[in-house]
Amino acid sequence: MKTMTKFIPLCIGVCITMLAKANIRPNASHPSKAQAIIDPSDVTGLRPATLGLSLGFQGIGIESYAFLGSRWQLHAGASYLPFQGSKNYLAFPSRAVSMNLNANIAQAHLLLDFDLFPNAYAETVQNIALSAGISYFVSAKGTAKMKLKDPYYYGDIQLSPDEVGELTAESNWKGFAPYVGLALNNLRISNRVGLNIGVGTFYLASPSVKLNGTNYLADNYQNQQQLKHNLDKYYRWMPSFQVTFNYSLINNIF
Amino acid sequence: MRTKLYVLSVTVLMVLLSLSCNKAKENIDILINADIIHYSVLFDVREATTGNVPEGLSVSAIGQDAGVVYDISGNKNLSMDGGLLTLGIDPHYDPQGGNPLKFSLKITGEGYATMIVPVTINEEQFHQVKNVKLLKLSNPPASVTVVNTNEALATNSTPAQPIVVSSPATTDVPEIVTVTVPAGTKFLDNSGTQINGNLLNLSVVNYNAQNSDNNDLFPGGTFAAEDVNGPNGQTISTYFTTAAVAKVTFTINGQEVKKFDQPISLLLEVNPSYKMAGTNDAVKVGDKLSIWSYSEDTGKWSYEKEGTVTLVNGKFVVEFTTNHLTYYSLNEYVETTSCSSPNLVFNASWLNVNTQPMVLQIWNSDGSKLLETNTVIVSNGLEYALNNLPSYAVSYKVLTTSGEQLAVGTIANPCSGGRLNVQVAAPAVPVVGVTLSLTVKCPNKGIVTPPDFYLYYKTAGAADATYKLLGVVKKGKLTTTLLQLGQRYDFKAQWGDHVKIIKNYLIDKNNLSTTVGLDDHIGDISPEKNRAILIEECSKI
Repeated sequence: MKTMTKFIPLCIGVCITMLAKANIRPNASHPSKAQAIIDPSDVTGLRPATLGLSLGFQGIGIESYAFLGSRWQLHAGASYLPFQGSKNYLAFPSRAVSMNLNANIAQAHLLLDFDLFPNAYAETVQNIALSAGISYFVSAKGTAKMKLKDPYYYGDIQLSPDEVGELTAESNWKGFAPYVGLALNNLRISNRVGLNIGVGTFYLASPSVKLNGTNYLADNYQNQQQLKHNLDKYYRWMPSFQVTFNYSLINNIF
Repeated sequence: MRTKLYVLSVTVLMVLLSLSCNKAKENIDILINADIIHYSVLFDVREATTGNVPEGLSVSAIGQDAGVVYDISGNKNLSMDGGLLTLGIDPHYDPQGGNPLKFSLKITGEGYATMIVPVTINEEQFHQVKNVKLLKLSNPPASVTVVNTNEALATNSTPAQPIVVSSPATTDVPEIVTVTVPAGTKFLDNSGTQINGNLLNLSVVNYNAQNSDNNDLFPGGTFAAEDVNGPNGQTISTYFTTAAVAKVTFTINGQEVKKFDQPISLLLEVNPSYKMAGTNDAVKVGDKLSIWSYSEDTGKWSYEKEGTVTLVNGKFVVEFTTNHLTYYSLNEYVETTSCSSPNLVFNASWLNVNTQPMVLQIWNSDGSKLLETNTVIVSNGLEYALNNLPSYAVSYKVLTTSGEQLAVGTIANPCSGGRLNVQVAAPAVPVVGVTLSLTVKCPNKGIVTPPDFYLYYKTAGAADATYKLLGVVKKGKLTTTLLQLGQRYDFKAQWGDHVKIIKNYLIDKNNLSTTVGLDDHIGDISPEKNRAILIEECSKI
């Protein structure tokens, strides 16, 4: 929580700084494409800087866009996802468990968008961009608490799942993660409200893994290495789907 | 719109997480620690005369806490293999505070005198060893005589003439037991129904009560008794001093006679060297000895009546009548109902982190009579609750299993609890610590630590009867001073109903680690059976 109290103001600060430094560019060939501005009174042919709210796999966040000139656009943002879920049946080879999952993802990113088809006939196609950049996951932590689903029998002696104990698996992909994806930017909803959609993937840092069991599950620390191996092997690519509602800082005309 | 998107996002994330779980748990299985059972008791049963392992025994737990007793692998049905059985306590009922668990193990077998071994487990008394000797009736030791004879019965299944049967007098058992059955006596079962037949089998087993070799053969294997029906009908605990003991059994057509429709007579001779407990004077005519019976069904003693010593044919005897059959004993006794057991604290710093099974003997105060023998797996600082003591002063000795005395002392008041320090001297043979580590590679589970088990050893190639306890393998490890570097040994372990033997194993270094997996077939069991055992036992953890 302390991390988050530092993280959120930091991200807001980055976005505001970006907006303040946002470029403007005349857009002669495609007057429909707006430009970021400096002077709100002179907006013709410019793509505006925007500030928006995002929703996606990485949670809810803020996003700011700044036009860099030609086909390039810079956008920075941050998101936060607290997640809780449960799964009542997860089968291991010899027994099944019920699981409570708690995920906490907080990340900030700085991405560059490159318009792929600026001369396309259809306006929507013109707005397709390649996105790439870097993200820093302040927290990408997943905690799974597992208990046996059914009583355990040692010979004829029955032990309840609570008596057998609880197994806690903690993993954290904290660190820098490159991102690559496609963006569909500047979809207009109203004069000042637009919509950006991004689909891509992060390549996460190698996770740290802890596996601790209580009571009769204590020996499961031996599985920690295999779990780390599995997460390293299968769980570095983190898919991203994000929708951003942007608000133009001027009454834009695209 | 935003709410829907959020729900969509979270739903997709959950699906992804669920899918990822399958990948995350690849090659992982949930391991459950094998040390489910915390308290265990090892029973090592041998024939009294030969030390051989008796076969074909049946075992069952009886008594107050028998319901929480399982074998060490958690099975309620108990069986004994190779003379070894390790019992464990349901972990829900581990002994707490001043409430020890109490039960008895009943051991029966064709041709053997039934033995009912009482067990008391105090808090933190995690491991116990009970060495049990069984009397094979067809091959008794010299300190026991057995007579087995048949008498014809009349058509009404009663003796036409009085039957008189006496055990033989021998050098080692000079006193005899005589049973006299009046003519016309009807033989009854437990319900009082007459047993019909034309042939009565009579068996009389006479123990020399003054010979300490017979201590282990005394009913229960101890002179201490709990849950006893006392002289006034009350339930008490007692400690017996025994002047004579005999087991009398009648059968007709294989059915055991329990009662008679009229009293029969028993005469037990008393050794003249017997000293009366109160005065320490030799027994004489007119002395009082109480007559006790012992049930082979329940393992409980009952006071019958008071007997008086008389002189018959130059022998001290106590003669009495009874209408039922079982063990009979002439005893003096002290009540120990309100006694608290003392704790012995073993100080043996020379053991370092090693353990060593030792023999703890309890003697009377002047050291003239051995009362009790226990096997204790000693570690430095071990606290051992010493149950089964009388209320009067006794002495103790601590010996190695090869007989070297390491400690001696007195327990002035065994009835008042407390802690008593026992300074254990280092044995003359230089001590070398050897650590054995054992882990098990379970199929699809990786390497796991096996449950605690008791390990035996003997010099490689020696007779099976020479197997001795090496110690308890706790959490896969045993450190001991009993193994010598450069020597080869045979090892034997018992787990549930499996006995595992590893032969001719070289101790070539102080720290030996072994991992047993599907393809590691050490030992003398066939690879296929090894594999089956491993898969079966691994499925439990």
